[in-house]
Amino acid sequence: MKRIVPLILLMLVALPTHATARALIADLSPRVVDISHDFTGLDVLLYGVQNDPGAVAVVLRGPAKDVTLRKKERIAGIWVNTESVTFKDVPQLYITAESEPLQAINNEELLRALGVGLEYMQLTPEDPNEKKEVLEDFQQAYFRIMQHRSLYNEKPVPLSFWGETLFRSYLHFPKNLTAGWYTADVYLFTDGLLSHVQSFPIHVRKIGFEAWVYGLAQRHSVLYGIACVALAVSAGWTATRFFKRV
Amino acid sequence: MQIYLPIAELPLNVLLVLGLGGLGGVLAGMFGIGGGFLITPMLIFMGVSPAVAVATSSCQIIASSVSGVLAHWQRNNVDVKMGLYLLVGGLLGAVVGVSLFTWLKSLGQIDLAISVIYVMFLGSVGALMAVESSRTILDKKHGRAVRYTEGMSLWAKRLSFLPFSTYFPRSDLTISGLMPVGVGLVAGIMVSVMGIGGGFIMIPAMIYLLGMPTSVVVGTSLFQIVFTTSAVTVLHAINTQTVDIVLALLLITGGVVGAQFGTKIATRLPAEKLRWMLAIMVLAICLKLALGLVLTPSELFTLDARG
Repeated sequence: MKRIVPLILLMLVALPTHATARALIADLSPRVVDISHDFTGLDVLLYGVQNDPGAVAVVLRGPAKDVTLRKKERIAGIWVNTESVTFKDVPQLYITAESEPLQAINNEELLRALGVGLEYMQLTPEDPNEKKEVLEDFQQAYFRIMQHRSLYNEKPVPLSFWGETLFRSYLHFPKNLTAGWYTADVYLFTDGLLSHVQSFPIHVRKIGFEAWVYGLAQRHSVLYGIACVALAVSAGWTATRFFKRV
Repeated sequence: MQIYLPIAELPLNVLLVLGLGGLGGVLAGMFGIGGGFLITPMLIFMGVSPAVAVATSSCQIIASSVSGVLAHWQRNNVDVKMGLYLLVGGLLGAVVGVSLFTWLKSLGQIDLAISVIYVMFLGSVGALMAVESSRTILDKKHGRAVRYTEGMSLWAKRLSFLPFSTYFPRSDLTISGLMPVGVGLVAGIMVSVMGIGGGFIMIPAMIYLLGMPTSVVVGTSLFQIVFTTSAVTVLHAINTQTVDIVLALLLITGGVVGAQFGTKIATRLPAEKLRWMLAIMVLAICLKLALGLVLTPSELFTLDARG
């Protein structure tokens, strides 16, 4: 027993110093986003402590999908889709937050490699031989369209600091969200290098009636289709009967 | 008041959706058309993806057509034999339409195709109806004898060389069975490609091309539409999982109420005035779409997300 007491004391002393040694601790709340009939978007709270100096950047990414963009051109007076570019595995949501402008990190290659910040993001084309200017044009158009749909943010959300180390911010999940797994990555850049990163999975899911309907439509599509027709037919029938009596 | 739609994956204002359904219902009651050509583009405008808008509209049209066909059935205004011929064409057309849709989509020209088809059909149908109905209105006003448009049409005479000559008792017509099948085919393609019932194509075609009596035209077209839209709804549910039943039921609720008003308006107005109003509305939509094809769009790029 006498031997254990100093050991416990040592641990008690060692634990906090060990904890403060972590450069960055962050968390998100909630980590599960429930979509039910009254869902109109949600603010997720991001908070954390930054113990080492440097710049904090947060990137929230939605599930990846292949997207095709088409450009319209005027042919014989009519606007017709001509060129098209397909990008592989593009996040369907991209929201960033930062403690200071990313230029201050002064390591463009690193930011490009990590895909941190819209201006450093490089979408992967399906056709690698596509001209660079064309890709840039189409990529900018994609960002513009997604920003218009509030799925990509136009400007990074500022992280507000309380004192030197405590930071917090709200990341907005827009109403036109798709269900799936999202990831939030919190980066700490010190002296132009990545010194710490923390990743969080966020589960966006439909619950209750919405989940049931969606599941039925996906898994029992024949049954669902027939049920839709039956409901529509009976609705039409009921309406006629009802209004005839009135 | 917002409600989240499980398949469309976005919340919409309940009153707005009910109102849109109601407007479609008024049109359905007045003119015997499903209102799909109004509802589909409006849903897309509200942020619903085109695929969901097209599939859900077809589900909504079933309800308004059932409700309409029952009313016409009681007044013996349905030519079942003609309806079945139209239906054969309609189902074929639905299958052709689905493959056409997939092909055009892979080319990236589906939006252009839809707009051009709309402009062509709405333009010609609208112009034809506007001319005919204003002539009838003027004739009536000046006390002249109304030109008799029923019976065998000019087209039916020109196309009388076609085989499979068939007698249709309710319409009292002897025409080639291929003619209603052809009309149904075109309408069926419209249903699967554009999410409309095809009534606004079929009704004028039945009057001016087949020469059917006006009294049975609406009921017969609705009879056919019930079955084609049902088939298309099930096809969409199986192939693309894009039928949003919550959205459809909201539209239907608005629609059945609207239809009652529409029917009341229709009984108070003479048929040629109703046709004239429909013609003007069709031409207005045609003009809007035509402008969309020529005017410079605010965003030159369009996005098409896959799986």
